[in-house]
Amino acid sequence: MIFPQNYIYALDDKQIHNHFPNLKKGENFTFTSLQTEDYNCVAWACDVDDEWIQFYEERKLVINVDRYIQHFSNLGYTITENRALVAGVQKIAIYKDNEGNFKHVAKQLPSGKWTSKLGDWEDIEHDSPEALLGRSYGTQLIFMEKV
Amino acid sequence: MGKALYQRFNKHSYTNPDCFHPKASGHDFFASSFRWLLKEASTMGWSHSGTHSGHCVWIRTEKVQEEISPLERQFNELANNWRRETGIYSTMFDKINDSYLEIIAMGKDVIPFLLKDMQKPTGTAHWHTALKALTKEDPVLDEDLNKPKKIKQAWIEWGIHKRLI
Repeated sequence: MIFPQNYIYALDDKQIHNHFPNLKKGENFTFTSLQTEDYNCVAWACDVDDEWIQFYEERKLVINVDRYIQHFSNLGYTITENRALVAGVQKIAIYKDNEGNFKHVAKQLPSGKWTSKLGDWEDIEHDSPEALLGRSYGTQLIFMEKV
Repeated sequence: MGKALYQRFNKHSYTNPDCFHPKASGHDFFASSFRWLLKEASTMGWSHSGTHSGHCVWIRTEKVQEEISPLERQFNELANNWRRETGIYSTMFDKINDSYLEIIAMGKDVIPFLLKDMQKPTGTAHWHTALKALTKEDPVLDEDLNKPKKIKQAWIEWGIHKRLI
């Protein structure tokens, strides 16, 4: 990804400090897209780049992580304890907070690294799911896989 | 300072008076004050529209001669705060914070500003919730609730129909 000269990152040093204490610029992540509101992390994990995927019941927003697990189950994913890279197996990491609310989802790349769309901001490639744990994306992970 | 910057925008804009190119304002000024410049520009109604020849380009929908009302300035400041505070989140549940609620609390006068923001290239569909609360209407189809471009299109058409934009 080639960024325009003088591109202003939405995820700047202050935001990294505020949201992701485990994220280290130049060490465990790289930017892979410009910021865009065209899609969110759920869409990104589903290879969709023109939707902001949220779930509704009678037009009321549903934020419980179970609804997101159900969505990925419908796409063929099953919950797993094995987060390690396995050839031919697609893995995702779902982030939730202590109240059981969905916060984020990251997708494993064939290299073993992970890719995330950060809300309205940039996509990044990060070394581990733990790099995004914290106050903003919660402290608990659920792994799912699809053969 | 704001007025000086405003004049600087005009002085250095391209032939299109509604287009401003920060790089054209001079390297020293650009390098030392760029972040401040971006913040100031945002509060004055400019929005980042992408790049041109590798440089940032800022476009404002209003004519440069127009003054921004105190209400619109307040909206712009709150909207910029809101973007900075919640841009990291992926559900509207997390995006509705104090700044977002303050915008709703400004009342129906803010509706044209929300719609105008949606008309910008970088305008957000996340105003959908605020517009629903303020107008008690919802022009977005069920099947389009996850489609930002469709949401913006529906509200812009609604605003034009209501002669609000």
